Amino acid sequence: MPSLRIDGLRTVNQGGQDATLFDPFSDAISLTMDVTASADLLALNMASFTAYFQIFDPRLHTVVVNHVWGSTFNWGQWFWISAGNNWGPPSAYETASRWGLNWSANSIFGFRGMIKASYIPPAPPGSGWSAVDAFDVSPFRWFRLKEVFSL
Amino acid sequence: MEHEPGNESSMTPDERDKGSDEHEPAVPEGLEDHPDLRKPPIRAGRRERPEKED
Repeated sequence: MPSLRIDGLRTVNQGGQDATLFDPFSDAISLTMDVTASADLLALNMASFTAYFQIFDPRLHTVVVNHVWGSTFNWGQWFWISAGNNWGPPSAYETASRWGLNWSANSIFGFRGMIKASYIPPAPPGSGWSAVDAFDVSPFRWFRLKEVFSL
Repeated sequence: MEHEPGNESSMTPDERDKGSDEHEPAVPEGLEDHPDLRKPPIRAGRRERPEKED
């Protein structure tokens, strides 16, 4: 049976470290998912996935970032995907500020990943994208922002 | 770690990607860095098979 699984989440800073404390103005936060897809999923015609990089504000109990990205399975069964620049230059880092987070009332946020698979059935001709019973929702990966603010 | 996501080069998706951003409208001039409008860059790459699988 086709399956698609998020094995883990990481919040990676500009040093390549899986960090949990970030300066909101200067530290990069690259949201990273480690994913496993089954071989029979990859064997489907035009097998593809859609991934959601979400940041959750527990004070508001709201998803405040929902970045969506889709692709075919170009990297085999075991791969990672990341959202956000952590390679530089520093002016291009995906900081908490640039992610659009508001840490004035709450400085702890959760990164959650969701992923789902689709394919195009070979018959009948002209079929469009169809959902596959292969998806996953990760637990939260919590991280904190330093309580520093601009004037 | 076998890799450092975001630090690998030439691992971006190829043109076969059906990317959800395909039909996004152009970002107005001067608003490229607005959090609601800009799109964080995506990277991806292979990783080794985990040692223990369910």
